[in-house]
Amino acid sequence: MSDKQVIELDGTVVEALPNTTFRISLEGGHVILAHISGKMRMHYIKILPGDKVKVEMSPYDVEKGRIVYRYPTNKRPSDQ
Amino acid sequence: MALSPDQITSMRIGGEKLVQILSTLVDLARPGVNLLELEAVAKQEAEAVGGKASFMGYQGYPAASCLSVNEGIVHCIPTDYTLKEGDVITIDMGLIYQGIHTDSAITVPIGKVDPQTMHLLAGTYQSLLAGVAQAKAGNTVDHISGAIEQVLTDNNLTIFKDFTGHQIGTQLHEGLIIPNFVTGFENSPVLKENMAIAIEPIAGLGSSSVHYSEDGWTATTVDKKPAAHYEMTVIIGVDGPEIITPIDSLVQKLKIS
Repeated sequence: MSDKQVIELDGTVVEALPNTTFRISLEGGHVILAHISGKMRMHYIKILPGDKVKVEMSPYDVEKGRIVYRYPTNKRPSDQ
Repeated sequence: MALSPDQITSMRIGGEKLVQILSTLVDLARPGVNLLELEAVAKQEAEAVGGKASFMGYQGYPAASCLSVNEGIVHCIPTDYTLKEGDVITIDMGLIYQGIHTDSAITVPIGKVDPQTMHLLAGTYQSLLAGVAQAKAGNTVDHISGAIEQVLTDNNLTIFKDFTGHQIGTQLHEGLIIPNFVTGFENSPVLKENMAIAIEPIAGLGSSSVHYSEDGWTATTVDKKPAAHYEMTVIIGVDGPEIITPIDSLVQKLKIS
């Protein structure tokens, strides 16, 4: 089984775009486009602007990422 | 960390057993066979030889093997799919034996496969051999990565950069990664005697874009072109590599290179 080369960074969702793509502002200021990971889609986890998320990125393409985790927040009721 | 003599002994035996299992799976892989049958045999055989399938439960991976067909690149969870003439399937499996991991993979043509795809298979296997030849004490990871990259680019094959080889021992992935191209990021680590590594070039014919599916594991090519993957576990020796999971006889039988 190959090892997967990824960097994990935290960021805040700036904007929700079509096709479950999101604009994310990463800690450090860099803004990227990210899509939601399959696992999160499977569990119907909803992502909204303002959410704090963890993004997985390939070190070989720093413009795009995958949202792999949404940090819990007190601001809205929990998902089912 | 380098392996102890006892660990090396366990790894040698485990490697032999893993190759036997791969050989069984390669013989079974023909038109009309379902991936779930291959997966069942993989799991069974791992236990039959006195070990365990190392992928099962690894970071939540739900199977004993990764079976990646056609546009499947790596980590494809076995599905209810029946192989047909013209397919290519990568059988990737790990075995824990006496506490030590071995990891190996082979891409198999099913029946008659088109010449371009056969070129992909041959070129990817050649790049593995080139990488393995560099696996000796005193060389750096870049020696291996550079050799693999050279063969793949000489053959006009695409490298899927996100997937790398890795050091292996008491864990499936531990210590160094072995990229399939020279990253240039840092001073390349020096290979030490009695370290064990899994070298695994993964290549394709078209775009390097990868699609990850709903299950969080299965990786496929966005352009649906096929991918190939060959892997061997080797121990770094003073004069050269000791191949722990030799797949050459399987590759010769399949007339790939």
